[in-house]
Amino acid sequence: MTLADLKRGQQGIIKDVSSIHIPLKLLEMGCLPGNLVELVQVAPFADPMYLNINGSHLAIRKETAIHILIETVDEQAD
Amino acid sequence: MSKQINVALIGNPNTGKTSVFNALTGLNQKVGNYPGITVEKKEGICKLPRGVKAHIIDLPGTYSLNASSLDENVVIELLLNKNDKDFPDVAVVISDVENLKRNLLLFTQIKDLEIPTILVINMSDRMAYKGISLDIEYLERKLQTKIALISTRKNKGIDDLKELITNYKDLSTTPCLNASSIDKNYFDNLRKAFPNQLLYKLWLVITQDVNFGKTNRKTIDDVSSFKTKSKTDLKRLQQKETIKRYQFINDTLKKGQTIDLASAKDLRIKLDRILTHKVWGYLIFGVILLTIFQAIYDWSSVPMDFIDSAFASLSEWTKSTLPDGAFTDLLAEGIIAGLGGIVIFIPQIAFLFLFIAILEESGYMSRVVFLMDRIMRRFGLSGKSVVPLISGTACAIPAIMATRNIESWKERLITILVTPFTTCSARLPVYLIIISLVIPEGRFLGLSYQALTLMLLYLIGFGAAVGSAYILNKVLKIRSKTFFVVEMPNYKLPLFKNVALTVIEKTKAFVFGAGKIILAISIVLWFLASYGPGEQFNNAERIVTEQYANVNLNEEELSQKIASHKLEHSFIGVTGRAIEPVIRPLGYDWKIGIAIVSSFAAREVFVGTLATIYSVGSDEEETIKNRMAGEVNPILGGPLFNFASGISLLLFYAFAMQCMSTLAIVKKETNSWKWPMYQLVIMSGFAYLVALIAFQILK
Amino acid sequence: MNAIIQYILAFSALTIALVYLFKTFVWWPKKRTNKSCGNDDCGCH
Repeated sequence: MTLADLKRGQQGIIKDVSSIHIPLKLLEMGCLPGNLVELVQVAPFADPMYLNINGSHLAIRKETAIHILIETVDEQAD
Repeated sequence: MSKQINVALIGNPNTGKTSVFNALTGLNQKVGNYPGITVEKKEGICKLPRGVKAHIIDLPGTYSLNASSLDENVVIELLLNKNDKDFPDVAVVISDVENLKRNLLLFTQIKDLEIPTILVINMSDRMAYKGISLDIEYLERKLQTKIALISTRKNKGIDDLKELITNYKDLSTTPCLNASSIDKNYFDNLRKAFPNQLLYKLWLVITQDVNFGKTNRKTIDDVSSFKTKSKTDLKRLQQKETIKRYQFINDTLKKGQTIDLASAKDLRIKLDRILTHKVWGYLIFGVILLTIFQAIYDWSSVPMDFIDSAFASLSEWTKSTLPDGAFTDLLAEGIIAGLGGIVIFIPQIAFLFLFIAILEESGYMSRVVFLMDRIMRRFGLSGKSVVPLISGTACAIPAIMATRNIESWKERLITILVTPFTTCSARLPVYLIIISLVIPEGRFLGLSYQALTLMLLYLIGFGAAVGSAYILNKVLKIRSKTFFVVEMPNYKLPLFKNVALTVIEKTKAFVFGAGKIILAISIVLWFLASYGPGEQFNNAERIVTEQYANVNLNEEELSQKIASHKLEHSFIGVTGRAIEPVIRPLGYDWKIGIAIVSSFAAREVFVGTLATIYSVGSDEEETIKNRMAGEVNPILGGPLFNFASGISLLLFYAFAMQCMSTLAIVKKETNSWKWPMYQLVIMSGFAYLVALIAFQILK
Repeated sequence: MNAIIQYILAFSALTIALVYLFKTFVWWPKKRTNKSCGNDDCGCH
């Protein structure tokens, strides 16, 4: 699954960020494999997405989020 | 003269870098531009212990040395160019204690350039609150640097930092990461090709496809013969580099930093739940916007009235005190009036930047970007276009400069192109006087027709901006990777010092940037209005006196007649009459034509020009208004400013591109004459068309 | 005499204004460091 599939409040572990559609800047801000990501908030239409990646808070568009592969940590979102 | 130490402040955005700069330099700072580009260059002088002085540059905030914007490019350009006069003897990397991990990425990159580097950990006052503790000694050893733990908010640790800067020669220049560990083969080849160059520096030059200064461009060209990797491969290597750096940082922080989550408190979650809420978020933003508009137009009216009358009396005083002559006239009617036209906008601009600085300092602006991005994107804009569009209601010039942090060139260009449609404060005096002339008094649902018209004009401005953005988005064929990454910083109480310095600096930038142009144009306009070709102008006195020989006029009335006759035949009058056929279908006469032409200095000049043309001795608006109301349309008869021509003028001013200073700034920001010319032709053409249709229908 | 000085001052002001406007709008005194940014996203990759 990808980051775009996360629901609000759900967490995941980043698996792969090698897609060329992911800007380097995002990696530099901590979006790297193995890191924990939480979807903090979404704007209307679930875009952009407000994330907490390993303590780094940032917002990205859905078009970028679909390229970030993740694995969920807890299946039941709270 | 003692030697100055060159210090560069570098850091991620939102780390309080500017606060550190302000703490070090106080008011000893100046803001300029980097040569050829409009990126702000902030520098200042700091007195260090033992009589040493430091020259401090506050470099634009960046997350890494891989530039993704013009602002960030400046950082690399300086750090790679040893011959630059500002090349730092010591780099001071500012980090925020809550985001140490991310901030250290940039630190390791700068360290690898083998520049002596000091690490500043700012906002140390929040450590306890966040349950963070640091082993400074261990971190200093592992990162091979000196660390200053400071808090600009509590004014702690600044002296330690000064001490470290003074002793910069003791700093180690050992790199943190061995660059060749990214790809051994590739880097070995690089080393063979350029044995005398620093590997990491070469790597940066290769991976940046941005422009560099002369020295480095040559290096790129040299390296290009050696380019064995495709762009995608290079990007993979950059990813690998980033991962390696984070591994090093994680290892370092594992021992050097402990976070006790149990004692951490978070205001962010609570505030974000409301401020980024699907309903409340927009509602709160709306209320904030209304407050800003209220402030700009209501609160600033008192100082503006004061400035208006102060300059009027200054002009009057100059005329009566100085000896008569051309220069005195120029001083009174051209220069002082021109200066007044600039100074009068200072209150509005100061208020606007006060609010924007507070919103940005507090961290709220990022939430607005988050809320608005999706909506703005439908029109080819970015969430980050919101700030320029709001700023545009004061003045398009700072607004266009505020587009710089939009990463996508296409979105940025569209924002630059449409911003001049927003109703800037220079349109306001024009709107107000015309509305008071042609819109009847009376109320609709408790709101006066005049206020409603003004509101409608604002909506038209925003509508035109958004609508043309939509069209531009479809029309412009610009291949542009759009990516959008916005940091959502912690909420902070804005520091008074930072806010005040921003307001002063932005206001100064307006006064000395746009102000110079407006002043120069006022001087030229004065000449064009005060001198003219041929008989009619030179012998105006005789001609008018003869003309009114049989009419009983007192001296004042006669001199007014002479003045307006002179103006009619001055250079500007001749121009106005030459363009009269073009503007007659819009319902204007040559006098309005002149006012429109002179509005290219700044729109508000319209009112002043009409005042001059109608040779109104006093500067009371009431008198100008009555004069305007009394003007008769030379062809159709009836009042010149009637409902039809008034609406036509309002619409013309709403759409036309009439500000030379804005065109100059667009030229600077897009680095081409193409875009400002498009703006001028398309906006003004559209304005003409709309005004024409409006007049022909309504007349 | 006074009038002449006034004329000289006034016209020097005009000259300064014209030179300034010319420099700002027509001829760029600072060296160009960037190529035209019209068609690609230079600096914004």
